[in-house]
Amino acid sequence: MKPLTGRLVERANAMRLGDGLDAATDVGPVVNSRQLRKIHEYTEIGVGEGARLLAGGKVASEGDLSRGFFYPPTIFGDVTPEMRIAQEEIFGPTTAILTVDSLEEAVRVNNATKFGLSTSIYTRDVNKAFQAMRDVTTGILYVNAGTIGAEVQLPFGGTRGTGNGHREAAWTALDVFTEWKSVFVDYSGKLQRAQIDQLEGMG
Amino acid sequence: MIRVDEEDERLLAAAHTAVREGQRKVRTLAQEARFQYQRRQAELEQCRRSLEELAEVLGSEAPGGQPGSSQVGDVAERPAMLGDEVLLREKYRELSEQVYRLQRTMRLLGITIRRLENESSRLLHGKDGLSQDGEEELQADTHERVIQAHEQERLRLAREIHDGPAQILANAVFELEYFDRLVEHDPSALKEQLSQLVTREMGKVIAEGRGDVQEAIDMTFYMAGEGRRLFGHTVPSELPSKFATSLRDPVGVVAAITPWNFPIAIPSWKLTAALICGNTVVFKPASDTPSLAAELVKIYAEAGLPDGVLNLITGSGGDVGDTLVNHPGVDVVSFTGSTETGASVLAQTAGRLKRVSLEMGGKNAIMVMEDADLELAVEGILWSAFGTTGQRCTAASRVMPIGQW
Repeated sequence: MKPLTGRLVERANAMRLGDGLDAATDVGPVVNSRQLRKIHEYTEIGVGEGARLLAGGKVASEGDLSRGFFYPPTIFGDVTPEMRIAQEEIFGPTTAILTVDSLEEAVRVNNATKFGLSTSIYTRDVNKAFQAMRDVTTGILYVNAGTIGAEVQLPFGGTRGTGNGHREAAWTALDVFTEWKSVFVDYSGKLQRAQIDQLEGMG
Repeated sequence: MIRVDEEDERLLAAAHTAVREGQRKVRTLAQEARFQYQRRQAELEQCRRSLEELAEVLGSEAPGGQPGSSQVGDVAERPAMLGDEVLLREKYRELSEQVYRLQRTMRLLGITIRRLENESSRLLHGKDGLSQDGEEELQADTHERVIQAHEQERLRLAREIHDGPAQILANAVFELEYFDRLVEHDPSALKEQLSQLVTREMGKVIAEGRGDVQEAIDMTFYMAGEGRRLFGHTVPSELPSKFATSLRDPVGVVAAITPWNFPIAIPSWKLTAALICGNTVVFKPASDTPSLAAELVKIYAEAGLPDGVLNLITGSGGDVGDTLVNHPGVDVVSFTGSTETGASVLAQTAGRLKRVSLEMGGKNAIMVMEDADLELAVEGILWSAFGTTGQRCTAASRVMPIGQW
């Protein structure tokens, strides 16, 4: 296993599942049985597509966990961009490691899904950071931070199948909830035609 | 044999779909008619009030009898009457005619509603799932919420309310934030109670439950300030002695449909922004997290939001969400949830040209360059992939290491 994959698997396996009210818990349950089923279905899809299951991958059933909807952090290796687990939203603790050779290829793969919400790049090279800012086509981009952590004062939302062109939060939210009204007040006391209507010879 | 069975099944399925579509259409029409009836009723009451006021001003001179056009002659035959009084009498006549017209329209609408209701109950007979009574009750409830929102919208248009939503939101923030900051995680404080409710209701760990509540506070705080700005643009005119500016007007009644993964944060995004812009709201939270929605609405009510400005309705997307989205009284739909449901919302509202804002799924990636700080990247990936058990629309579900990583 390469160093990043090795560290991720080691740390994911050490995460503690349990009651969210217990301060020692790292990962809480998923919301309901339907979601639990869906998450596990995607694990089966990933295995079926030939991805390599490196961590997690089955419904947690040790002790009290069997009484809730728990699924452990799940990591797939050897994932290719066209696999369903690299294209479809799972909405659970499953992540896929894809192998790419360059920033250009990473950006291409990043942009090639039906969604367009958030992307992150880890680099200490300012040129690469700005290249990502220019080429990434999602609604949100993080440099040296994960894909979560938006703040209320900047627009929130995404491109392609993530939305329909609007943004939540910040001043952009106001565009969803208001209509613009343009007001012209002529205080000259005489008829002033707009420039387009000032026909030649009519003064 | 098999072929015939398949055909039977196909026919039955098609018939079932047609009946369902028919039910939906008839229900929507009945709803529209009821909605129109109530609007006309409000107009009628307004006209009657104006008539009474006018009658008082005109005193004993007020024309009596049945409303209609019989008074037209009176005005014309009294040239000596003061100018103002002529105008008032003219107004009285117009109002009387309006009352007559409204009464007639309402009678016709009443007949239509009864016919549609009969048809609807005929089509609904024997359907699966929620009992007919249950479903109708939910739809009636939804309808009631929209009517309330509309009533407030009418009052605003009539300039009868002057409450500043920005100030009310600031009160809500004050209640949540400043009292509770005195003791961090004080179990008796509202903020901590809400955080624990987040964890109990949808499962995320308590530290993130507190984050959810904090986000709602931050957004409320931000929007309370934004409500004092709502900047328009003032630009130069191309002509002398002419002033050109632009204003933001409210759109009307907003339906806010929210998911369970941020049960208080995401509602606060929609509700605060809609309210400070001057809209009224019907709020339908995810069916997995109704308690937090109720708590949030209570907080705004306690902070001084007038009745009917923010209206809560709970239930599933199929029972309540569709009714709300299709309701003729709803002008804006702000939806966060799955891509599949969002697409359906857009399709359902297209015919009415409603404004729809959709926030849906993601397949978010983290790219790790050769020169990255490995441990920093590991922390970021674990937090983004497994925080909230991966149930965020921004969760990292793809990782792309480059080179030696």
